[in-house]
Formats: sequence, C-alpha cells, structure tokens
Amino acid sequence: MARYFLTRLRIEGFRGINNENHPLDLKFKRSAVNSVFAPNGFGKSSIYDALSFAIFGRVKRLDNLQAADQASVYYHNHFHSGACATIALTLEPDDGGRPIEVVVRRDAQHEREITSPSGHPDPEGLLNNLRADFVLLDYATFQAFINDTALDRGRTFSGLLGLSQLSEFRQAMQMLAETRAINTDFKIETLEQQQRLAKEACQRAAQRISEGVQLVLGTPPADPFDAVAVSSSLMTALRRAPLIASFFSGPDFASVDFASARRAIHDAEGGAAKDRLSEVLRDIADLEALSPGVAEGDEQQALRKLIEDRERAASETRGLLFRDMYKSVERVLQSGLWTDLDRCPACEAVPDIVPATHIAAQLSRFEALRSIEDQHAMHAQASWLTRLKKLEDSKLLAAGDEAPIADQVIAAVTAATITSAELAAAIERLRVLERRRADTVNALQSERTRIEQTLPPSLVRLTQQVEVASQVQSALCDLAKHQEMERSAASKLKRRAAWKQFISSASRKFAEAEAELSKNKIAAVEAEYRSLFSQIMVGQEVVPKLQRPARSQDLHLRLEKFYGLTDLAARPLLSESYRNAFAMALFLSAALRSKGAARFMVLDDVTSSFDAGHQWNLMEVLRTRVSVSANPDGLQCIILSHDGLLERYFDRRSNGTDWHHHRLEGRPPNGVLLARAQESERLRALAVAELNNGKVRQAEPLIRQYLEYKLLQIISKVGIPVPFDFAMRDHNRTVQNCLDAINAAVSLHKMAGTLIMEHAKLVKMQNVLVPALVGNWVAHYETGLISSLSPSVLLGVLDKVDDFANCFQYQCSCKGNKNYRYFKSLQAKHCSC
Amino acid sequence: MVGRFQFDANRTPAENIALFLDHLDEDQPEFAALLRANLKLVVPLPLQAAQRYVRRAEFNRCVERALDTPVAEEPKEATPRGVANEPAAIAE
Repeated sequence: MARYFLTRLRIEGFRGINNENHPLDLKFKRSAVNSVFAPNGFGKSSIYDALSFAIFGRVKRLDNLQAADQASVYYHNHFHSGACATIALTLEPDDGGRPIEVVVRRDAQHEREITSPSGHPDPEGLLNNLRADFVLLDYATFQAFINDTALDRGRTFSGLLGLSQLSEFRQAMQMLAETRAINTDFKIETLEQQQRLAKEACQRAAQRISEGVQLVLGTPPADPFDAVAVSSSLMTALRRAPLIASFFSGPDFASVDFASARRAIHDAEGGAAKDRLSEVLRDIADLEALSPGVAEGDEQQALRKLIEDRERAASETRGLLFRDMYKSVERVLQSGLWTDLDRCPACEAVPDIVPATHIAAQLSRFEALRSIEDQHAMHAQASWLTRLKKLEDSKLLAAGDEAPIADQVIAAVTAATITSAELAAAIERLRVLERRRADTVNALQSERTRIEQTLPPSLVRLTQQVEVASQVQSALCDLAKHQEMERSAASKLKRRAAWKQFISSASRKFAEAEAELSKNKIAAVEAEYRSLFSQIMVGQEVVPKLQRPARSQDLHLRLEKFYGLTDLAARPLLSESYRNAFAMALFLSAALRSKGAARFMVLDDVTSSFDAGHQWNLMEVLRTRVSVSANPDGLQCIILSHDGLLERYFDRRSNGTDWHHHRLEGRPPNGVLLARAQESERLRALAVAELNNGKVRQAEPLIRQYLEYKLLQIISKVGIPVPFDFAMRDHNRTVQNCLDAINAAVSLHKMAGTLIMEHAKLVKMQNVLVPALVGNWVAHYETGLISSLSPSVLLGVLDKVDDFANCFQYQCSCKGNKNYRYFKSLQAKHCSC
Repeated sequence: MVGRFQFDANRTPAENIALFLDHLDEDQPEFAALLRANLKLVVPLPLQAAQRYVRRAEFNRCVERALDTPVAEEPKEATPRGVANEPAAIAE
C-alpha cells in the first residue's frame, strides 16, 4: 500500500489566513525536515488548523468552545469576501505514483466539499486514510497524553500503534458477549419459564391420560406421552362395545365424536338419571383437572420477590417525568450543541460528577427497573394464575356475591403494576376457591355413587368409559399443544445458547489476539522510545518504561531507572520537560512503526517546555532519526514554530539538503500572508498583476516582501556583515537597515580598494537606486503613506529592486549559458568569468 | 470452535478484523454472517454508555429475529417412543 508525503499546501480564507485570490503556498520536501517559522499572530496555528480541518474534518480547539461562542462561524477568515475557505493538499505517494491533489472547501453555508483536481476517484477516502494520531502533534497533545487517565492514555497509545480500531472492535465484542445482556436481550428467563410451564402442563396432561387409560382399560399405559399407542389402545377397547363401536371405527382418535357416542348410550338407556350421571362425571373430571400443580408455591414466591424487587428499584428512581428529563439531557449532550461537557445543560452548573456519567447512571436505574418490569409478563402465564382464572370461570364454583379478580390480577402482573397486597388477595382467593373445589368434588362423587346405584351396571361402566375416554382425548390434545410449546422454547433456547457460545468464544479469541499484538507492539517500540528519550534528554540516568496489564486498555507510565532507583511512577517524579520528552519519544517511536497511509507528521510548537539545548536535541532527533533523509523508513517532518532561537537553527540547517525552511511574512489576518521560500519571481508577478489592476493596497505587502527578500538575499549571498541586533532580532530586519548594512559594507570595500563591483554600477547604486528606493518606498512605507503612490511609481520600485540586486551580480558562463550570479563577496567572484 | 487466532502485525487493523471474521466463517459461517451483517450497529462504538446499551439491544434484536427465523428444518428424532398398549377387554 502506498503511503503519502505532503508536498504542497495551499490555504485561502481559513482562520487567520485571508490571502484572497493569492493562496498561501507552502512547498514541502519529502526527504527533508521542513520548518515553518512565523512570529506570534502570523498564521502558523492557522496552518495547523487547516490541516486538521482537511484531514480530520474538525478543528479541535473550535469544537471545544462553548455553544455560545458559535465556533462554526470562525472556520473561515472574516476578511475574505467569499466567506469560504479553501485548503489544497498535494500528496505524493512513496511508491513513485503521480502526485494527488485534494481540495477541501468549506463554503459560506459551512458545507465541507472535497474534490480532487488531479482526478483521484475517492479523495475523501484518501483523507480519511491519513487520519493517524501522530499526523498532527502539538504541545497540548503531549500534555494531555501525560495527564490523561491510564485508560485514556492506553486508548491514545493503541491509536498510535494502529490498535485503536482493534481495541474498539474488542470492546464491541465484549459488550455483545456479556452474559447478563444476552439473558436480558434474548429473554432467556422468559423462554426458560415458558419451557418449564409447558413441561409441567405436559406432565399434568400425561397424568390425566394415565389415569384415564387406567379407568378404561384397567391398566395404565406404558408411556402416557406416546399419543399413538394410547389412542390406538382406547379405540380398540371401545370398538368392542357394539353400542358405540361405529364411533370408534375411524382411524383417528382425535376426531372421535364423543357427543354422538353419549347420545347413543343415552338413547339406549334413557332417563334423567343417566344425563345427570354424565354431567356429574364431566364435572368431576373438569374439577379434577383444576387441582393444584406442584410448582404453584414456588411461582407465587417468585412473583412476590419480583414485586419486592420492582418496588425497591422504583423507589430508586423518581418517576417517568425525571426519566424524560434525563433522556432529554442525554440527547442534548449527544447532539453536539452542548460542548462544555463538564457543565450540566439543564442547570448550567458545573457539578462534581461529569453530567454524562451522572445521566448514564440515572438512566441505568430506569433500565434496571424496566428489566424487572419486563420479567413480570412471564408471571402472567404462571399456572396458579391460570388456575385461579379457570376456578373463577367455573360455574360449579361460582358464589353470587364474589366479583372475579383473576383478569384484573393477570392484567396487573402483565403491566407490572401489581402490588404485594393485591398478590396476597389473589392467593387468598385461590385458597378459598380451592377449598370450594375440593368440597364440590366430594359432593359430586357422593352424587355419582348414588346415581350409579340406580342405573344398570353395564351402561354405567360404558358411560364412565366414554366420558373418561373423552377426557383422555382432551388431555392428548393438551399434551400435543404443550409438547409443541416446549419444543419451540427448547429450540429457541438451544439456538440462543449456540449464539452465546459463539459470540463469547469469538470475543475471547479476539481479546487474546489483540492483547498479544499489543504486547508485541509495545515491546517492539520499547528500544526505540528509550533511545529517542535518551537522545532528547541526554543520558541514561532516567529510563522510561510502559506497563500494560493483560487484557486491559490501561497504560501506565513508569520509570525502569531513576538515578539508581528502580520501578517508580513517572508522572509524579519527572519534571515537565522530561514528561513531555517521554511522550514525544513514545509518539515518534510509534509513528516510525506506522504502516498507515500518512507518511508525514506536523509538529506545532512542540518545544515550548524545552530549553535551547533540548530543543536542539529534539531537532537533531527529527533530522537524524525520524526524517526520510536519514531513515529510509522514516517520515516527512513538518515543524511549525514561533521560537526565534530555533529559527537560527532552521536557517543554519536550511543551507544543507536535509532541511527546508520557510518563514511566514505578510499582514495576517486581513492581508496577504506569504512564505519567504515562495519564489521571488512569483511574488514579483503577483505584485505586478495587482498594480496593473490598480490595487495598490493589495500590492503593498508583496512589494515589501519582494524588496526584503532581495535585500536579504544580497546580504546572505554576498556575505554582507550586519550588526548583532540585525542578526538576532527579527524586527530589526527592516528595508532601511538592510540598505544601511549594504551601503556600509560597499563603502568600506570601496575605501579599502577591494570592491569588485563595476564603477558604473556603484555610481548607479549610490546615486540612483538607493535614493529612489528610499524616496519612493521606504519613506512612504514607514510613514504609512504608501497609498499616495501610483501603480506606475510602484512598478518602477520593482524595477529598481531588480537593478539594485543586479549591481551585486556578474555574468557567468561556467555552465554554458550566460547567467547572472551573485558575487562570492564584495571583493571576489565565484569564478573567473 | 476452530483453533487460536493471531493477528498479522503487517496488516492494517481493518484487514486484521476482516481476517478475524474469515476465521469465524471457517467454523460457524451462519453466525459469522450474522455478526458481519449487524456489526455496523455497534462499530463504531458510541462513547456514551446509554447509547451503547441502545445499540447493543438493537444488535441483539436483529440477531434474535434471525435466530428465530427457521432456515432449514432440523432432522426429527427417529427414536421410537414407548410401546403401544395391548388393547384390553372391556370389563363386562
């Protein structure tokens, strides 16, 4: 996979950079450390923000502002007439492919648009791929890394090592594999309850079948669950009675018409006593089917406990109104409209606890209550409640003055509103009805005995067998129904158990693989970050160490050695500069290991806590170990700095091939900002274009920059000596001071008789060019009266600047064509041309 | 489940996650497909805990629906159950 260098950056209308129609144009060398110096307020941070917006789609420092600050309107430069920002990046692949240009535009409606003039098919995807934690680094990043909690630090470091995506995936897997969540979301307890109830119902049906078969055949069935065998044996037996044989001659016991069979017996026998016997037998069977189940006590106890749990959980919340309020606050916090996350959006105070954490805790109480309420529904199907309903519905047990309560209780259980008192009342009602049922069964049994004594024995027996067989038919039907319910619940539970096993195993495997990779990666960077740290801070007395507990995201900063002591915590012991050096060493070592698309890193004022010596050490680390120029697997470094002392270092290094330095000049935030490294010819062309359009104000900074550039070029190329203040202080490098230094040096050499400049040029310089530049530019510029000059005068100034530079040049034909070349010094040329 | 899984240090995180899902495919393709299809609900993982519960519940709802949708009928048990009673004579 190709990785990308950032070789060019153009910015217009973004933050402190106006540059309307003349984008700030920075060119970076891929195999050099690139430095950009700018005094405070000259748009250096705007460059950093522009890259942040282009690559990450946001500017962190703006996003962190309070909503009242309306950060979104401060992305574009407020002096830009189009109120839109344009950031163009040129990315050069390291595999020799063609450079790719990506333009990120933020229009007046704050819409972000990404295009690729060079024709890349997915410029947005390309920018997304550049999102690595080391691409944009500033002082705050290092400080945050040190001051973060071990967990946040661990997450940041995972990101640096390219593990954050894996870490996030692991957390997602762990969340999905959590047993409690699976049990709740997949309603495991409800299904288990359904399965248990269905099983109990099957047992009860089997019991009825067994007793019925025993009554009809004299022996119990071998397996009451075997519906085919039970049906077949009953059909065969009942077919033997000629009176009813025709009703049992079909193939299917389930479709036997027992009503017709009863009528046949009734017709053969006649009499109200027979009717009553049938009725009594049916009633006895019906009431016996309503006898108590073995699990009723447990069910009631479970519901009682659930009600208590619910009442306790409800007392920990403050009702639906508060839940709605918490949810509203949560929505506000998540909407992004509220950016001060330490402040509560409801009361606008800053509580001791972070509002999001408090809200999550409160909502989790409602969640717990909801979970308990959800469990109520399955209790509505409990066997004792079903029995209560049937007992109340039974006409045999009805008492005139009793209003039924079962429906009400079932509804209250389903809605999770039942109280302990209502439960107690329902249990008492069940007890009363059960006693009534037992009494009624006893009374019916007595009546049955009485009637049987008045009827012919054979038909009594046959009637009894038909009625019992009818009950067995109903029990078989119940058995089939509940067996299906049990099978369905069991099948669902089996599938859920398989999923649970799958997701748990997958989560465990992923976590193990990630822990191993993380361990290996940390071990792999260890030697590197220690060595980098040692080079930045010089010495072996302090040796840092990272500690990551197994299967944890935490990352602890330790010291393996500290002036002879061992294994100590780094944060409380190290000074700020050492802590930052530790963080920098970690970031750099991780960045060097990165295989991501970004092969560049931008460092914005990262040396603030360092003295000059340590600043120099860090720069040397970047130059000799991180930069591509010294390390074939290294990165392109781009340093942004406002430090005047560091610029001396940048200046000195930029004479070599491994360093490329820019200095920002101009008039931000409303004027044009330019990089001195931008070609002087481009500056000149821009100035000429503005003057030709009559735009004196716009041309002014360009002329000034061109003039300064040329004068400083003469000083640098020809080796003009300058005063100490001129060399050390930026604000002393004025046009007048440059001219003074040049004039002084020329006069000195002239008096010494060593001046190499032709006499005619000397005369022109002293009598024409210097007065013209001072008169037409310096005097007006320094008094702020530049607008009083016409474009034609200023075009003349540009020509005079070129003529002035030409006084210090000679024609050289060493390389074939004749070229103008600066003198080596005021007393010598580079060659003999 | 098939054996241990290891990430390839030379691959990107996205490639490694894809490798992991392929690894799950080898063992339980149906569940692996279910995980793949619904991953977008939980990755990226929301920062807020409450939001995570919501996403997790939504993920599990989708999985539950899929688990309860029969794909192919499971083979029925062929074990004979019980022995039919011999028909008994009706008592005179």
